[in-house]
Parts: sequence; C-alpha cells; structure tokens
Amino acid sequence: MRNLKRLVIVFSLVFLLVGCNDQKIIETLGLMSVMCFDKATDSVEGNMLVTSTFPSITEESNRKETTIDTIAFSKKDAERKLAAKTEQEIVNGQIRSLIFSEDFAADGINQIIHSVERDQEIGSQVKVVISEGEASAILEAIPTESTGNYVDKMLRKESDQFNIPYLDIHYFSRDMHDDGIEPVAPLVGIEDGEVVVKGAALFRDDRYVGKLTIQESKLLLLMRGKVKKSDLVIKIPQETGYRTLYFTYNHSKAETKVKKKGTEIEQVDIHVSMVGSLLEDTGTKMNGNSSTDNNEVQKLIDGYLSNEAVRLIEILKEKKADSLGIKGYVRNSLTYQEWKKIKEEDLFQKIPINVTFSVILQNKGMLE
Amino acid sequence: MSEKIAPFHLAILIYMIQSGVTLYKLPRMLAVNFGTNGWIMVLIVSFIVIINILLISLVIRFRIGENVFEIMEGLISVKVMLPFYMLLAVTWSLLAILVSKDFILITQVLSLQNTNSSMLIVILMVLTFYLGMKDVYTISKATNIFFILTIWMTLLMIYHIPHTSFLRLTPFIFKEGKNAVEGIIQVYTGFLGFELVLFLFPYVDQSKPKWFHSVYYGHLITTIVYASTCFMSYLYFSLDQLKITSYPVLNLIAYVEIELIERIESFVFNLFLMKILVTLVLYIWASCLLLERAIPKLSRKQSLVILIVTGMLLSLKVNVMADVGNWLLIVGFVAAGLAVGLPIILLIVIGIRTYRGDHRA
Repeated sequence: MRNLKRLVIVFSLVFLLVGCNDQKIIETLGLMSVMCFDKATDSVEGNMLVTSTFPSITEESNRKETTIDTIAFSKKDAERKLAAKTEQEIVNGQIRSLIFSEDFAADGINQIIHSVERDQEIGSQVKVVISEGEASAILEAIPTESTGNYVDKMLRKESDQFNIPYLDIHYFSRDMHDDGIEPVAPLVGIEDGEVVVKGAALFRDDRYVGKLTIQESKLLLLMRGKVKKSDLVIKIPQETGYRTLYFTYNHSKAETKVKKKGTEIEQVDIHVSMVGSLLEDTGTKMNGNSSTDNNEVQKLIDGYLSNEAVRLIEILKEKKADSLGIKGYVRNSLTYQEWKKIKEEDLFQKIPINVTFSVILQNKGMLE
Repeated sequence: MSEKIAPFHLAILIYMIQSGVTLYKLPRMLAVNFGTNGWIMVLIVSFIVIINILLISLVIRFRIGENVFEIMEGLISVKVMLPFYMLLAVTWSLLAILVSKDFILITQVLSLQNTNSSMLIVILMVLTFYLGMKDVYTISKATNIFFILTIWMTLLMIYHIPHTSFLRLTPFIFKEGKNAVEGIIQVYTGFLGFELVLFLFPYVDQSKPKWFHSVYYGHLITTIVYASTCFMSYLYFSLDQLKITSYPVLNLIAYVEIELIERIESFVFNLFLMKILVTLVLYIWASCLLLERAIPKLSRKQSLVILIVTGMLLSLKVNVMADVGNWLLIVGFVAAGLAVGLPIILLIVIGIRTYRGDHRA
C-alpha cells in the first residue's frame, strides 16, 4: 500500500513538473481572433494581404483591439511577419474565423485551408467566411472589441436559423476532398457601414465561383436535407403590387432519388416536403364569409418554390458548383466501374434535375 | 501472492493490453490501405484474431504442465530454449518501448514541443518500472481503475452524430486502396496483446470452467471500440480527407467543443497514457518472466532494468515519427508472427508429448 502511494506521488510530481517546461504567459501573448485574406497584387513581398486583430493589454489593463496587416506568401509567413510588428507573442490558438475576400478566394484557398488543418494549435471549428469587397474592411466595420467572436456568433445565429449553410474548417476540407459535393460558405458584406450576412458563396473545389442571396441559400438548404426551423417571405406579383406571404416551417425533409434507365442516368429527383404555418398574408381581404383557402395558399407557395428552384439550379449549373451534392447521390447509385467512367465528365451540368415540393399548412396562426 | 485474477478482470486486462495508440491512426491506415468502407476490415481482422485466440485456448485446454515453460521444457531442455527465451524477451520489450515512443511523439505534436522527448520517455519508464514491480494481480487491479478512467471516451462519439452522413460511406467496398497486405498486418498489430494470456493463465482464477471466455469478451470490447470509432470516422470524414489526416481520432476529439472546455483533445490524449502504460507493463512483465526463466538468478528489479535499458538502447536512434512507424511495422509484424506461431509450436509440442505418453497436469 505504501508503495502504491509512493507511485501516485512520483506519478503526479514528475508529470506536473514537466508541464512547467513549456511556458506560455498570457500577458505576453497576442491572441489572434480573426485573420483576413485579401489579394495583394504587384508586390514582391508576397501575394496575400493578411490583416489580423488581437487584444492588446496595456498598463491600465483596459482591453483594446489592435489591428495590423502585412503582405506575405503564406499563412505562417504572415503570422511571422505580424509578430515582427508587435511587442506581443502572436499565437493563433484562439482564431475564430478566417475571412477571405472574393478576389482572393477565386484563386483557390486550398493552401490556407491545409495550413490551418496542419496547425495543431487551431481547432477545427474555425469558421470560413467570404466577404464581398475587401476582407479587411469587415474588421473595421465590426463595432465590438472582440471581432472574431462577433463574426463567429453572427454566423452561428444565421446558420441556426437555416438562412446560410453552416461551415467550418472541417466541413470545408471535407467537402473539398469529397468527389460528390462542393463546399458552400457564408457570404458577408458591408451595407451602410454595417456588417451584414449576404447569403452563400459557391465553390468548385477550393475556388470561389459565385454567390447566392439569402433567399436562394435558404432554398439550397431546403433542397440539401433536413431543416429544423426556418421561414420564407414569399412575394407574388398581383395586378397591383405584390401579395406577400410569410411562411414558417418547422419540419422540412428533402429526398433525392436517382432515376436510371439501364446504366444511363435519366434524371435526379429532389422532393422537398415541408410542414409549417402561415403567419402573414396581405392578399386576402378577410370578412366573415371568406377565409384564406388552404389549398390556394399551398399551391401558391408550391408554385413559387418550384420556379425559384429551377432558377437556383440554373445558377448552380452555370457556375458548375455541385453544392447540392448531386454527384454524391449519383455515385452511390452506381457500381465502382461505372462511377469511375463518368466521374471526370462534367456530370453535374448534364444531369437533368427535377425538384418538386409538397407544402402542408399546419395552421394559419390565430386567424382563419 | 496467492490471489488470482478474476475472469471479469481478465477481460478488462485483455482489452487494455490490446487497445493502444494504434486507435489514433487506425482510420487513416484503413482509408489508405483499403480505401472505401475500410472499417469493415476491422471486423474481418477481428475474426482472424478470434481464430488465433482459439489456438491459444486449445493450448491451455490440452496443456501438460503448469505453464508455458513446463510445456516446452518437457520436450526440449532449458539450455536449448535459453536463446529463444532471450530473443522473445527482447522482441517484446522492444515492441513496448516503440509503442511508448510512438505515444510520446504524438503527444509532442500536441504539446510539450520544447521538451526533449527522451526525458518524457524516461518518465514513462519510471512509471513502468514502478507498476512492473508489482505482482500481476495488483497490475490487474490498477488496470481496472485505468479502464474506468478511459472507457468513457468512446461515448464522446455521440457528439459527432449530427455531423455524419451515410452518403460519404459510398456503396463501394475496398476500392481505391493501396496496399491491402500491409494494411492487414497493421490492423492485426492493433489487436496484439491477447497472446500474453499464454503467460497469464497460471495467475487466473480457474475455478469456473468457462473462465477462458473472458479473453473473447476482452477482444470483443476492443473490436467494438475499434470498429465503432472507424465507422464513425468514415461517416465524419470524406475519404480523401481521411487519407491525409494523420490522426483522425485526434481530430474527432478535437471537434468536441463543450461550453466549459474548448480544446479537450490534449486532456483526453493524456489519459491515453494509462492505456499505453498497461500495454507497456504487461509486455515487459511477460519479457521478465522469460528472462528470469533463462537466468533464474535475476530478481524482478534487475530483469526490469535490464529489459527497459536494452529496449531503449536498441531504439536509441529511432526518434523521428517516420522511423518509429517503420520500426513498429517490422517489430509489429514479428510480434504478430509470434502471436500466431507460439500457440502452433506449443500445440505441436503437446501433440508430440501426448504421443510419447506424458501425463497431463
């Protein structure tokens, strides 16, 4: 028993002491919370302009954000150069988001993604964001002190409401390496000096190829799979002005089926079924005799969504971005030899995709 | 010293010897060597291992003599066996040292980069020495505590369920793989440890006739943990991503973010030390038995020191991740050969002795 005790003491003492060997003192650290990547042209110093912010702890210990930038050839090169510009030791373990400008992302961000994944200090829940215009402008427009957290929270809120797709480093890398789907990133921009979530950024492999509005990205999410809870504002043109419907749905499911004729792929069917409630309708003048007709509303929403879906698929096909993962469904319906044969062709553009909706109105709020 | 290991504890002991740091690399090994749906291979190899365990159970059932040494020495004299014992002892202790080096090197990817790796290994060896000094019953008791402290980690996988998709599994089986033979050896080495039951059985409580079943149960726990982790990895990573991720299971753990702690992987990985320690101690313990049989004058303390020092000297130059990997592959292959070969040799010896008319114990 005494020996066992001694064992425990040796165990803990020795291990605790070794921990002191690698020290990091928090006051001397510059904890980067965000990194912005812009394209740098005509510079011998590098091809990317990297901007980062970190809290600087002054003598009065009031926290202030310092923003610095540098031109570099790679992410790590940038970190080294940023560190040279400050008295703090720059560490990247607290990075929350990476913001890429459209120009930069259009050339491919593979290199950065792999650099982040290789870095053991950085976790895999780091958000990847695309910005309209300059990425560094986003930093300036954010009002709070903790920039990285702000972007992180804003994106999490939006993706929880199923307005934009959720995306972190792991998701991006996973879809980039998958031959059946392409990544979709959130897109932010600046409107009147405020940071706004604009929609979704489409990728082909690691290259940014196009963007979707919020409304389109909602539809994309509907067609991609399960949506827990979201809403749609539907504008239908009338003789005078618009009829606006507000439809919130709690359950939505998408089923994707590949139709084959022998070994040829005929078409891909996506069927979206959604259940929800109507909470606004500007089209009907209600009185005691007439109420909103369930079937009519369902048809209206159905028709609207079908039209939009056709438009969305045209956009995707034009950009050659298989954000819906259609190729994945096709792959899983084939044998390996068949898949290998057709894999390299521009499969996604060729396959006709048919989207159908079934909308069920569960209730109409507190009015009939 | 008269206390015996209960069958239930034997099962846990077997699981703890088997599972080790291989788990962290296993999904990647499967993806590289077998390609799509490589996780199925875990089940197939596990089945081969069961046959291997069956061989061992036959040895134990038909044994003539109290332990492995008595079986062998009934036919071949100790002097002839002596170099063989020594060689076996050195192989196993080398394997143990390599496993611990592997563990330390992965630790240093995560933390303690500025510390000299040999210092960490020496610390680990001090722990091994202390635990190795105990009798096997005490080791098995300690193992039980280690088991409780580590088994819950498997449940962390629940966190990943929302991030998985069956689409990524693909219907293709073992396509885009590179080297199936090497892969099978690697997975097999991941299961190694069960062969130590050949040396453990004299210390097990054999009052229940079905005590050997617990070896299968131990192996079953290992299979479940391995297979479910690999299956989860195939659902969570895409195939090409899995191929380039060095330690997929570390990434899995790193993805777990709870409100309280954010980067739990460095904490969880350190808990793995206990699993490594059990593997280490049991292999060294078996080596000690062999060495002491060869040179009966040695005390436990002396033989422990000799084996640990020999193992460390032999692997002195092996300090880089790639080297450790290659050495582990070779030594692991030898150890796998031993796991299959030993029971077969023992069965032949038993066969000859039965034919000669030796009495069963």
